[in-house]
Amino acid sequence: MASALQTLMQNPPQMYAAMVLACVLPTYFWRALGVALGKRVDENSALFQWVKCVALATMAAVVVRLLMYPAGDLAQVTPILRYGAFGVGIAAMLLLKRSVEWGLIVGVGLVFVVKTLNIGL
Amino acid sequence: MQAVFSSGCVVLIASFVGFGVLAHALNMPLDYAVFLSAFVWALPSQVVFITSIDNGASWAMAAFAVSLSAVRILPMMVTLMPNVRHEKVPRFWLYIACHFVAVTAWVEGMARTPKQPKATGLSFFLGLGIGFLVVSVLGCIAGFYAAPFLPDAAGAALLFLTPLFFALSILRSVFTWGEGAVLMSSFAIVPFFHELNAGTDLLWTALIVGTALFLVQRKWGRAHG
Repeated sequence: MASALQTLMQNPPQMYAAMVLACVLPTYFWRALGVALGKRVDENSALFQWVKCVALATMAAVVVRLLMYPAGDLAQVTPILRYGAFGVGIAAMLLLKRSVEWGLIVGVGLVFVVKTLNIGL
Repeated sequence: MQAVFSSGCVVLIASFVGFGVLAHALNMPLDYAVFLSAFVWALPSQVVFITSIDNGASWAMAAFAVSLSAVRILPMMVTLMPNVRHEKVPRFWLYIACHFVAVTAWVEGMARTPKQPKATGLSFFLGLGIGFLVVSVLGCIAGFYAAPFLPDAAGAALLFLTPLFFALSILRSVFTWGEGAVLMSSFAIVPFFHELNAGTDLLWTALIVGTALFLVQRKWGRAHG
């Protein structure tokens, strides 16, 4: 059965409407609000802190979604390697001066090398 | 020009290459992927949108989830604005320039705009933003066209890059083990709601884990800043 995304993409006007209404505008809104409010936002207010936490948690949920329900070639990678490389990448970042670059090189490199060598992980 | 080719930018390009590969994996035509990359230009929003629709979320639920993830841009705007604002700059330009505010542009823009004279701060930021956007879109196109020719290992690695990149970015703003543990609970909460209704798992996780994170910060918090 075609997924909802596949069905939607068959209909370009609808797909563009969905992209604008459900992705472009909800993102641009916060940028424009930042300009409109300027210095009038108290970054240390409880509401603002909560909003930041919810944004972080949304990102965390996307991470889990991408790892647990992988698409394309990533679906062929065993869960052990997916979660293992994820943990190794995080550890690499923490150990190497909190560098995102190093965390990515180590974690992504591990997936690539293990898959290339095809050692059954 | 140098600023556009910094190491932060290499990560940015790589993540958009990953998005191109993801779009290809979901059978998304290139024009949609380019449209999203150019007019949204916030990778989490793009990924939240396409995976939510793919999981059967309604447009309204997808829009809600996207705005929850994009709200993190607001504090960036608030910090960046004093650096680019100037009496001689019409507000209209600020509403154009704000489209280019995203994680990498913010980090680079904040690091560099204070060194520019005030009046050129905005044009410098715009130049930087447009440069970032162009290389991101090119990265997306490259990933999309390369996807069918990549060995499985490379395709898998590029798809793996997105979640790891997001996780490492989150980690930069998390300082205590307690906060890390709360965020890790997403690994249990997402599948729970995914079983109930795949389209709404992001929303519930965002609200529950986000609120828990907020409470943990309040109780055992570092001074926020």
